[in-house]
Amino acid sequence: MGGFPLKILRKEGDSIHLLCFPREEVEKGDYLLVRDGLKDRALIVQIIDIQYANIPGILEDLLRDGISEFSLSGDDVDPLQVSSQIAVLKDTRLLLGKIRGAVEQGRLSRDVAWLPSRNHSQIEVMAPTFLTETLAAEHSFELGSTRRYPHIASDLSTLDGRLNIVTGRKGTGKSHLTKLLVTSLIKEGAPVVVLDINGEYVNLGRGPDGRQMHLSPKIIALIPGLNLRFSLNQVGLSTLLGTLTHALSLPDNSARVFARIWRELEDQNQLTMSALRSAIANSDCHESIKDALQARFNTLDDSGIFTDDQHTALNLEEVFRNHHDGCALVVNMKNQYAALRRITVELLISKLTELLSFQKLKALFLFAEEAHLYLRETYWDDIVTRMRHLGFFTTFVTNQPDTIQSSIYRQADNVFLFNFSNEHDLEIVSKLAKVDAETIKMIVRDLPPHNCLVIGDIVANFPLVIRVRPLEVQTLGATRHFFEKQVLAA
Amino acid sequence: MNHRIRQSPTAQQSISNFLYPIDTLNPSRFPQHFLDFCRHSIEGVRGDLARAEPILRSGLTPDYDGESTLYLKAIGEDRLIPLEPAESNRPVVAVDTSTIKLGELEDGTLCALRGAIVRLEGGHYAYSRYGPLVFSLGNHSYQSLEEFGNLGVTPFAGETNVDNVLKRMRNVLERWLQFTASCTVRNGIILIDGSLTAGTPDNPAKEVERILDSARRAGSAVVAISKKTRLRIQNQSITDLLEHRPQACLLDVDDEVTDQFPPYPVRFLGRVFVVKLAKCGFPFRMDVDRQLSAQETLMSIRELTGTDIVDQGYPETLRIAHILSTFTASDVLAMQVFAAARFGVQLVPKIMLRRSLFGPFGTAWEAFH
Repeated sequence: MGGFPLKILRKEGDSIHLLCFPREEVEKGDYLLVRDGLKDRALIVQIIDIQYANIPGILEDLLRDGISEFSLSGDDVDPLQVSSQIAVLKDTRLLLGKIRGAVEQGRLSRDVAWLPSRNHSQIEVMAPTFLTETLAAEHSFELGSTRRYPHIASDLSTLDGRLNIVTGRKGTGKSHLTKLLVTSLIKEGAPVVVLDINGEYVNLGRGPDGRQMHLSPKIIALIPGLNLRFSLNQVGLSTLLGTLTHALSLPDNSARVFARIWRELEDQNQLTMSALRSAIANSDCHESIKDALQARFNTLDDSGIFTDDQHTALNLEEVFRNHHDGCALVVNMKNQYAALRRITVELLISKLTELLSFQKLKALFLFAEEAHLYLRETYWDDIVTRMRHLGFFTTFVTNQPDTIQSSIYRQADNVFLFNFSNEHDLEIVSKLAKVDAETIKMIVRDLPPHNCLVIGDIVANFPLVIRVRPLEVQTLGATRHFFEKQVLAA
Repeated sequence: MNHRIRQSPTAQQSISNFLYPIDTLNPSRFPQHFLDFCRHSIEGVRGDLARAEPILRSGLTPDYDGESTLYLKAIGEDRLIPLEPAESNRPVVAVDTSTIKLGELEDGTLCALRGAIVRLEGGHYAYSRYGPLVFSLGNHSYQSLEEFGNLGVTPFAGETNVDNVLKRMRNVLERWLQFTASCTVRNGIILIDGSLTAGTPDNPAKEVERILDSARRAGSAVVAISKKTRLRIQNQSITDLLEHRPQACLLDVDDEVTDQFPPYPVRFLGRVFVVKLAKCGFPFRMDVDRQLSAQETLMSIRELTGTDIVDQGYPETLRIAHILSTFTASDVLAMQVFAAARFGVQLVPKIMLRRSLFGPFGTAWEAFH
């Protein structure tokens, strides 16, 4: 940073205000190092907002300029060139920063209970790589770039065992980032399940030109009722009862009758869809219960997700065993009705939980897009408690932040925030525990597309504004347009 | 606190022809020796501490029209002349200057000066602004710099202070701008902030006469408008005479004013009027070149109101010239930065003695004086 030095104006709590002259190029999200010349230590400051400095007399100046611009023409004879100083002052900026940490004897420290000297401090731009280098580089992957630094890497192990959120308004690049995370995890041998609401992850194995790439064998696209089917034996009574009650709202007394029918068929070793249909039709229960059971059964049967043919039923355990070096099961739920989505997700999550609890699967990364469309209420708490302990690590992806429960925000380990301009949305995402609300509100509202504020373990808890790197795979999630030329949204 | 400045014999002897060098007639060119003076005066205080003024305040006391307070005889209303605007293509040109003190040096004061000429012609306002010029005034610079005398600053009869020197510096720049305007404008109306009273140490008669002469040769009328005047009639300001008049009008008070003065040394080079240029405007003292006929004088004033905007009774060209020349707080800050960056003047906040001594009880006006 040549030219004029930056100066400390004020410090209050973890906020610090710096004066910045026009020649300095500082942007929101940049990290600065405030190095105290008298001590061998420095504060790490992140810029969260840039304002005009409140220069005395600026109103009079601007009014005078306004008069000159619109009704006057003229020349300034300024032999000493003092006007250039006035121009500099007018454009002097005030940088609002947050103190994120300190550097003591060349090492990162969280001790920020000291005040740097106003007179003897030097302020310089800090490389974010210095902040993230504390991360283990065992499973390194390139996340993207910042304005100054072309390669910002992180470690995938920071997603392991964590709860993650990717959110931002539509068209800002959420799916793009999610694809980056998914492909990076697969490359590192991780098992991944993607609940794909728009069918945009199915071609992750193909390049932009449609050709199959090396990841192609690891992308397993599943369509419920087509190649995502279960046999009743695979599913089991408990899972099916859960599906009937939660996804299809089966009343309790009807569920009890269903359980009795199921056990009778199981005892007779006749657990098939056709046998189940006959058993319900011939049961001696009350007509209303029979009607309720028949209606639910018809829904299940029509979905095509159940099969009596064991060979066409999906054996999840086998799939993961065959792809022990990493794979992604992409559950394509595009164009499916709501009930079928809920049935599919209920069955899938129950089955995966079972595999994890029986140690048949070490751990699993689940990416859930717009989870409120198919995830039942009780799962939210389950995901952050029980399922997490089983090794079920979820990443929620949504453009409606209010559809994710506030408890999830408070417990999220990693959050990727894309642009939001709506105050209500900003208020919701500012409930994150990992960073102050001011930082989120100041930075997120000005993020350009494909740039996100990354918060949490993945950036060593130093929030970073990152431009997500381009993908070399086919991305189907981009918004389609009718007109070729698009007016850029504000 | 005023710094005393002793008079230098060198400066006294070398009163220059600053106003008249041929090269200064080009309004885009600034007199080189003025610039040299600025540079040298600050060079002389390189590395000095400058106690910066904490708030913006004018460098000078209010500018009156030059005379002491006078009490004039009552004037009959029958002498009021109604003013009707007259359409004209005559250009209107206004000149104004400002000074400010930027900070106190160990041995003097850091000051700045700026001037503006605004020209109204064909319904369009155009301006030329000169400065800011940053310089230091003090014992050291005054004694050692011959250029100070070369600027055309009139010598002081005895000891003087920074305010007085600064005022004379301002007059020098103002006269140069006025002279430039009088030479370059043909058949115009030249507006000056102040009066045409000359013969005072701040306003040598010879210089004002040359400006008037130059304007006359170019067919222009010089009109001076004074916002403040010490002239009083029956214990009220002469401008109060027209305060409640419903129409634009003019009152000739020249005889009443000039009768009060001996013919020497103070000379009234303009005929003195009280004028209300607009129906709802404020009244002002106005001096018009004495050598113009009564008819030419009245016509020039009518053409002024018919050509320029006279909102609140004050000509727009003069108002713009004032706005462009005055310093805002950010100008002051920028000039302080300039002095620090270019000449190594070290800026420190001025100590508020009263505030230091009395804390919150040393506030308000007295805290800044």
